[in-house]
Amino acid sequence: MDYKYSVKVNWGKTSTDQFIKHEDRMQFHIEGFPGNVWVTEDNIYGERWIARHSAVAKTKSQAQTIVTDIVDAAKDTWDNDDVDGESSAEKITRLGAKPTDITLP
Amino acid sequence: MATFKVTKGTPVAFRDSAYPATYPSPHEGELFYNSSSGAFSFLGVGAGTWASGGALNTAATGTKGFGATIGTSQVNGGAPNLTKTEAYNGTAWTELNNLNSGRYAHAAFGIATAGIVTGGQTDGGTTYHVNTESWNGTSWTEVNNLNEGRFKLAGMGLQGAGLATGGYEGTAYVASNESWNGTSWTEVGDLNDGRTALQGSGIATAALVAGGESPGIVAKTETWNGTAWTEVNDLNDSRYTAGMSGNALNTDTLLFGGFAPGATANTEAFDGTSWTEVANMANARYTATGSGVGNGALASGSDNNGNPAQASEEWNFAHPVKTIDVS
Repeated sequence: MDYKYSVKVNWGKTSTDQFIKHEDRMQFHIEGFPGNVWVTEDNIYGERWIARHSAVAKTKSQAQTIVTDIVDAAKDTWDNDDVDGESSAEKITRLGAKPTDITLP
Repeated sequence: MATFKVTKGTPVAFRDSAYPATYPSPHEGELFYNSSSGAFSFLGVGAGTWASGGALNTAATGTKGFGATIGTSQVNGGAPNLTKTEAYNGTAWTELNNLNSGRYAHAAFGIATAGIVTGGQTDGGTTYHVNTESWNGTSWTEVNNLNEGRFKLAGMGLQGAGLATGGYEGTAYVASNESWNGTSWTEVGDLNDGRTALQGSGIATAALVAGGESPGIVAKTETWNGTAWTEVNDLNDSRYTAGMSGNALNTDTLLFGGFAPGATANTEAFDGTSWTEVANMANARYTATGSGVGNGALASGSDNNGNPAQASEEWNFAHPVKTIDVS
């Protein structure tokens, strides 16, 4: 499957419109990532979604950089959030596991 | 030279508007010509999908909630020590009266006008709540405490009869299961496998828990018959801190998202016997709040790192509409 990459803030839902509709989900693949990065299937329905939202087109490399920067920042935050005397297992129980790298499809 | 004397077209219905795509449609599988749009349309087989919901007023993670339908759901609490309560009407979130005690990773069960929260923790603290609060549709009132303080537990049931199951109490993964009778908590049959960050749905006499950490990420599923837990078929994908349609019966429920490791958007449906993978959420997320039932669920808050977020997603059934523009 071929994809397109874009950036758009998810504004959720209003009384008359939805950022992603059920109909969209049935017509093309769409997946959200950190940094408001959206990966959409490269077909006519995906193109219409990008146009409808005036999403800012990115190359795959540009989109990956946005995602990686955010994940790296989250890793740093996790690394620096320590409590004296806390074991590694206790830290994971408290915070959840350390954020992991994300590779865009 | 070939001839096509016997070839003829198939009649196709004319309409001056599209068929309503509301599920379930009696026109599923029909092809027609829409004379208004000048296009052929096909109403496909209905299926469950996630679509965007309204944005929470306050970005949150570690919240819990309940609600018999998407449009009567609420979320409460959240990390690090939130007392917030918000209600969803199917489009937008409204702030309601706060909890008396801030908490996250607690248990919550009930409906819009009558609910219970219990357990949980204050971020960075060493105290695991035993505190329980009751919701009357307007405000929270402190009621009798849990016997065993813990967080990342599962809560199932209604205000007059519920369960608080599993979790973590500071040193160990909890198997203990407490029953709420509308007034007080009583210890009843333990889980077969103690675990934390599990999810639950159902009622006090017929419940389900799935996933969690014990200490590895598990796919284990157990059902409760009012007396004892029985291990049943595992999730297809192990995970913890998922969301669940907590008001669903244990024969028709949905589990979504979680940490597997790494945040997942994966969604699975349980039919009372086994789990089936269904359509993913648009955004991977863990520690999100789940509410609703198997054919109408809501996932709200938390992002792919378990950090606070405002976005929500709604699970519903719909028919795909495919169009062929002939102009």
